[in-house]
Order: sequence, then C-alpha cells, then structure tokens
Amino acid sequence: MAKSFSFNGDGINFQSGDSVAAALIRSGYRALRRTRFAGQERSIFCGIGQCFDCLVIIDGKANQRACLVPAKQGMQVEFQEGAGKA
Amino acid sequence: MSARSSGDSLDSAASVNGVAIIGAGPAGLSALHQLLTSSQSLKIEMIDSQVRIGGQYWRHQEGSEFPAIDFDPRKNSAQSHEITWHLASTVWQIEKLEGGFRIHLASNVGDVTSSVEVEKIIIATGASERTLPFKNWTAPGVMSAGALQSLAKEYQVIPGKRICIVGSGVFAMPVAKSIKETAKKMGTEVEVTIIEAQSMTRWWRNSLAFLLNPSKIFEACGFLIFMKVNGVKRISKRMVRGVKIEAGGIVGLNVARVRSDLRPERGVEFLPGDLVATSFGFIPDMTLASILGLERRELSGDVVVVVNANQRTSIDGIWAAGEITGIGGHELAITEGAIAARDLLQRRSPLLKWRRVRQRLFTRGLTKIYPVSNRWVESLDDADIVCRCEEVTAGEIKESAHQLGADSARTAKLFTRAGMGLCQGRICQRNVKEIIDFVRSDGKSASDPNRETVRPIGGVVTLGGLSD
Ligand SMILES: Cc1cc2nc3c(=O)[nH]c(=O)nc-3n(C[C@H](O)[C@H](O)[C@H](O)COP(=O)(O)OP(=O)(O)OC[C@H]3O[C@@H](n4cnc5c(N)ncnc54)[C@H](O)[C@@H]3O)c2cc1C
Ligand code: FES
Repeated sequence: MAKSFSFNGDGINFQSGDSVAAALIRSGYRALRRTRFAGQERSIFCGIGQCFDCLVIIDGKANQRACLVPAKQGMQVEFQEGAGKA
Repeated sequence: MSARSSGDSLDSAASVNGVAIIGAGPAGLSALHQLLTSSQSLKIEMIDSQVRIGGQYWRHQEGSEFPAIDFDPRKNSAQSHEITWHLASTVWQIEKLEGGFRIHLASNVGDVTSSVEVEKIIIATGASERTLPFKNWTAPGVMSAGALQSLAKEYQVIPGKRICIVGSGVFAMPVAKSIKETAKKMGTEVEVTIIEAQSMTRWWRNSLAFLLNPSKIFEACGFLIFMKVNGVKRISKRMVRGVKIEAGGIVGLNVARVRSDLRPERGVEFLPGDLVATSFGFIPDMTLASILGLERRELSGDVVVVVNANQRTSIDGIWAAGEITGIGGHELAITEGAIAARDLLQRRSPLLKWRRVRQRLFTRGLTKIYPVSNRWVESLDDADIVCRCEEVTAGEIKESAHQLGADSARTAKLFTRAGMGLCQGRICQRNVKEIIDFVRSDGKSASDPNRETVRPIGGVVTLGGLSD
C-alpha cells in the first residue's frame, strides 16, 4: 500500500525520502500558505530550508518548513494562513 | 612549521581534543577525508543542517549511491577515529572557551537543542543561491534554480511542462541537465529554455583560465553537446522583467534585452512557460562567520572570510574552506577543505596549493564572464516585492534611501523591515544593498563587510528550544 499523509484533508501519496513539499508538488499542488500582509499565495522558493517561504502547519504546529520536513505516514499537513495562528 | 618530509604520519596533532567540521558539503567532506588519514585517533563532530550529507553539489536521492565514492565517509571511515554525526542540526551559536569552543546545535524539526565542545573547528558552510527580484517572483511556480534542481535530482519531481530558467551564470546548465535526465527516467516530456543575461562570446575572456584547467574545457563542451542533443533552448542577452499569471497559474514571462551591465533596453518579449526558475550565481553564507566575528573582506562584490595560505581564519583554532572564502565551485572547495585539514594535522600541501591557484584563477574568471552589476535595479518597478518575508517593495526601499537617508542594507532594514523576517536577509540583503547603492546619488555605499552580514543567530530556534 502506498504511504500517504493528508493536506487539508486530501490524501497525498509519497515515496520514501520525500520531503513534505516534494510529495505535494509531485501531486500537482503548488500554493502552501498565504502571507500575513498582502495575503499572497506562496510555495517553495529556495527548496533547501533557507527562505522560509514554504511554511505549513504540520500536526497542529505552525511555521514548519515543508521543504525540510520528511513526509511521514499519517501526518496531517495544513495550508498556513498568515502566521498560522487560529 | 618544523621541517618534515611531506606525507608523513607523525602528526603532532596528538593533543587535539576534538575537531568539529561544520558543513558536510565538498569542502567539509574533503577535510574529513584528510583527517581520517591521521595516525592519531581523533574525535570528530560532523555537523550539517541537511538530512543527508553532500552539501549542495553532492545532493542525492535517499538510499542511492553517494555521488563521490572517494569522499563517502561510510566507505572510508577508519576504525581508529570516533566520528559523531549531527545531521539535520543547525549551528546557531558558538562560544569561545578556554582552549576551545562550545558549539550550540538546534534540530531542524521540533525544538531540540544540544551542544558539543571541541578544540578546533573547520567551517565549511558553503553558499546560498543569488536571486534577483522581478514582477510576480513571489508567485507559486517561481523558484530558485537550486530548488528546481533539488526537486529533479533528489526527489525525481518535474514541477512543470514548459520550464524557463532565467538568470546568469553556468549553474543553469547542470540544472537543465538534471531535469532532462529525470524526465527521461520517468518517461515524461519537458521543454526547457535557458534565458541568459550575458552573451556566450564572453567565454573567450577566460581562455587563459580554461587552458590552465583543461578538464573544464571538456566539462563545458559536454554540457553544450548535452543541451543540443536534448533540445534545451538557449536565449542570450535577455533578462526577466516579470512573470505573467492568469486564472490557472503561470502562463509565461516577459523578458527584455539587456546590456552586459544588465541595464534593460526598451520593450519586452513574451515567452510561454508554466514554471520559472531563477539564478544569478551564489552568495557565500556568512552567518556563522559573523557570529564568530571572523575577519571578512569584499571579493568580486561578495563578502567572504579572510583566510591565510593554510585556510586559517583570524581566530586561532578555526579554519575556513569552500564557498565561504569566495565562490569557487566544488573542485576548489575540495582542495581548500583538504588544505585546511592537513594544516590542522600540521602537514604541508604544496601540490594542493598549486591546484588551488589554478582553480581560483578559473572561477575568478567566471565572475568576469557573468558579472551582476547593480544596474539590474532599473528593471524593477516600485510595486515589486524585494523582501519576501516582510513583503517590502522596491519603492519602500528606494524611499528609505531618498527620504530617510538609508545608506546600507542595515539602515534600510531599520526603516523598512526588509531583511528582518525569518530568513534573516539571506534572500534579500544583497539586493537591498544594491538598490540603496544604486539610488543614492553620491554612488557611495556605507556598507562594511564586517558589519553587513551580522545576523543575531545562525538558525531559527523557538524560545521553548532556547530555555531547555
Ligand atoms: C542551491 C545550490 C545548488 C548548487 N548546485 C551546484 C551544482 O549543481 N554544481 C556545482 O558545481 N555547484 C553547485 N553549487 C555551488 C556549490 O556551492 C559548490 O559547488 C559546492 O557545493 C561548494 O561546496 P562547499 O562545501 O563549500 O559548500 P556546500 O556544498 O554548500 O556545503 C555547505 C554545507 O554546510 C551546511 N551548513 C551551512 N550552515 C550551517 C549551519 N549553520 N549549521 C550546520 N550546517 C550548516 C549546509 O547545510 C551545507 O550542506 C550549488 C550551490 C547552491 C547554493
Ligand atoms: S523553500 Fe525555502 S525554506 Fe523551504
């Protein structure tokens, strides 16, 4: 059975070694968050943990870098609005 | 140093109580490779913020063969040494102790912090990519060329069908190659176009450096042939002005003809595409160097760590190697890492030093072929975002210079928040500096290489992590 995590409730299959961002982009997703001020959509930019543009909420924790965090079975990933606080 | 025949094994490094290598890229792994040849048993701490070793150049897929067998520590680790690996760990602070250093680490995931104590440090923290801002460069589907390469090479992901790589420098070629190779493996079609600001004919300017480094002639020809065979298109003397977005996402980009100083000419052309990658070279990562207060200087517009002939820095017990001493590519990084480690073991390296001369000549030549003058600022509209984190526009930064008297990236940051976000200015600081330099009528910059790159901490640690 393919391994998967959820993104806003959708099932995302991933391969071993995938980062959260790599699996999402492979599945055709791009936008990962919206900015605090202008409400612009953002995705990965540097891809290697330096720019902090790829922030998502993972298992309830905001501001996680999707390009760095390894994908894990059953993880709950959410699109982050602004600073990620409810 | 005492007179001694080269290649000896009589290390007087016997007293070394621990060496940390910060950065497991080509420079750091080459240093490790040398340390492992020591006959004294050493305690070595290998630290890298990435999950896998290899740095930027030896990026690889999980579980696949390490791309450089000679430098694969798993193949070469001698029994007599004690190596501790700290991967996915970022150094965020280094304290000076009596006769050594305490290195503070933060894990990438969660709030776990720890520290190690060592007597000597080799820092090899590499470079980050240089990007320039343009209209809509913050949109999903615009990324650095390095991000695109990592998707293709490390994760076998091809994120678009018509990919445009815009910018300047040789890096676009290996990226285009990685995409084409991955696409072939996966049996998918992808169109790749390289849009280069400079003209190909400028390569002749580096002919002496090419002659001193004949392997580079073959490498360059190899790329050109690969691109021809695989249908990678190349457009020269054009620079991106903006990305065009419609309801469904990116549809293409507008490019303008530019002169060699990147000054745009009138008029734009439209090129279709659904993914835009951008790269204008690399910037040495001075984060740890500035935390440590290592002496720095300017080199071809970059701020770099000052080292002596043996790669020693201004602080006793700390060596520096690789991109942080000046952008030079993986081969120079390997040479410098080896020289640093050999000096730590009190060995001499005359042949390596000659190799370093040749390699430096080559890369300094490349910066002459692909210069990035601050005239690119003329391509910016006031509404274009420059600082991605704090969403600060070009107009706001220009105004801070005109109206408020900002005269460096540091003062502009205080007025506009540009560079104050989570990335700590890694992406925008250099661009903010060049905008300020460009708009100030006196043309003088108040930038100081030993101040501009100061960042409070080397990574991001939450308060919960700090109090542990
Ligand atoms: C995105 C990108 C892609 C590149 N691709 C190529 C390529 O395809 N071909 C090519 O010839 N050159 C490439 N380069 C240029 C590259 O910098 C050199 O060729 C080579 O990798 C330099 O080796 P290095 O050891 O000096 O640095 P790097 O390879 O950059 O290694 C530095 C290491 O230090 C680690 N590090 C940095 N700061 C810390 C810290 N505070 N704590 C812990 N660890 C830290 C980093 O995670 C990194 O692994 C690329 C550069 C970048 C930025
Ligand atoms: S894409 Fe830059 S930090 Fe993740």
